[in-house]
Amino acid sequence: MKIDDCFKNDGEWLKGAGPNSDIAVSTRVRLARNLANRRFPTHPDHSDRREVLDEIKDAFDAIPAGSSFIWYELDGQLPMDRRLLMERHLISRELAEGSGPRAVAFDETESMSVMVNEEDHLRIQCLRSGLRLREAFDCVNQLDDDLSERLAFAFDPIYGYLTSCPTNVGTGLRVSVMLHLPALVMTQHIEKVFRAVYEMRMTVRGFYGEGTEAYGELYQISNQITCGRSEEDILADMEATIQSIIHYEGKARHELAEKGRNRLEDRIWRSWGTLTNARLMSSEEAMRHLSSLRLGHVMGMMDKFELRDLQRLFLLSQPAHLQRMEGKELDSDARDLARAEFLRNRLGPEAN
Amino acid sequence: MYICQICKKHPATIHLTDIHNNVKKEVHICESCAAEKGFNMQTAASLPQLLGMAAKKKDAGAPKPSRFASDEDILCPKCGSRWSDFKAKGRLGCPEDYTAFKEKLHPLIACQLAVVPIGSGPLHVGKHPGKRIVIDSVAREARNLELGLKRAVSEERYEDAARIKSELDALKTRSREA
Ligand SMILES: [Zn+2]
Ligand SMILES: [Zn+2]
Repeated sequence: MKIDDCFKNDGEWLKGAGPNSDIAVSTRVRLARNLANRRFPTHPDHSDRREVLDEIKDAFDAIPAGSSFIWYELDGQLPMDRRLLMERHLISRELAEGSGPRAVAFDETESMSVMVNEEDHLRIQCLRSGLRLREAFDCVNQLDDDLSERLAFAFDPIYGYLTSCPTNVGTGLRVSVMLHLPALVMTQHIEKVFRAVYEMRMTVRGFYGEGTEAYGELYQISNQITCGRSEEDILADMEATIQSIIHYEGKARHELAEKGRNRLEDRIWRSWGTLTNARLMSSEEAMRHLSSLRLGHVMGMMDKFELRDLQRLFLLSQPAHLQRMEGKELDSDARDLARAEFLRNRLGPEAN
Repeated sequence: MYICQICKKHPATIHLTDIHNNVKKEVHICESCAAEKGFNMQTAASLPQLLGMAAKKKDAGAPKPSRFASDEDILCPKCGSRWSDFKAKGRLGCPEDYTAFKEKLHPLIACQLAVVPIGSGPLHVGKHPGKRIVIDSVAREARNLELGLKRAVSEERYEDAARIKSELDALKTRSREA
């Protein structure tokens, strides 16, 4: 199967819809599960990874929801295709850059995806636009119920679901919300927020998860505690934390609009100027300016595009997507040239 | 999971990588050490600096453990992985490791919560395989009170503990009557 044939639509998370979507870009919920009596995929002896993969594939084929999933094995695929899946948030960097038998199963809306043989045998995840914790949880919970009828998961009455890394043990539940926080960055309150987040035993990460930088003022807030709290409690804690960050970002935006309107408009229109004129554009710079445009749009200062089209530009200006559009591999300089041209064409005067 | 390289006590939740002269170095530290060092996400201190801090802290702290007194390694009989592998990689070998390494692993998992010694019952609350979860607000409230009670006892806040205990009893009576 060619990877391009898999992407019929834009991912659901790109819609720019859903509650609080002016600040909350997307919600991701995932469950980590492992098969009992098997070595974790992180064990140096990889000899049973193929069997694990086949066992999971059989379970998928047997459950009713299974037919709506595309099963895609990553071993032997081009690095660019794997990176494409990563940019679409269907797989992690670890799975993209890993080796050996491993797969991803995802549905056509690209809202559900299951990574097989990443750090754990199964990572069941749901990605939705806006702040939708319950909805996303219900989806993964349902699929977990279905799969657990076919697969024996490693579970201990004391520790809960057993995972390759003890930071996931217990519920195996990780809830992340991607927030766009430009006003907190501009008003220099962002560090205060981070400190509060850490105090709530939550973590902050960049655009692509663990170990990545926060480009485009996009921050991913996740729970850290997975054991000793129920799924319900973890969701409730997260909801409360996110709501309060949203509140502070909203306040900061309001403050900027009141007291720093010129500065704010200047930033937004400068970004517009750069995006519609630049001849070379790195992915980081693109994210930064697109971030300004997102802010300008949701604050009603700029009315030149739909939020969903803007969100697509975040995705399409990533390296693998850019190369896919160009139909060839490009080195970093060539990508910066292509990216600048692409953004000019999409946003500039000749766009419409 | 990595163990904090500065205090060597808490689980590390902040991970930094730095590639210098093609050599990849990683630092794993816990939040309290990060906060103590004034580390923040925006202006991440450079890796050498952090490593320097880690080294200094080690020298200034307790005397270096002797080579012989160092903790002996444990082997998982099922998959052959060792505790030292976990310490180096931060990943376990198989589900059985949780039993094999229990003495060392349990405190790391439990320290996320209140201090719960081995043998004091399940740490996990929430879903079990094969049991669908129903959201039950009374059970949730009871569970929160139980956690609060455990924490209050472990922190020797006995007045709080007594108050929480009576709340818990009242909740249980109410749910029985309902
Ligand atoms: Zn520490
Ligand atoms: Zn083992």
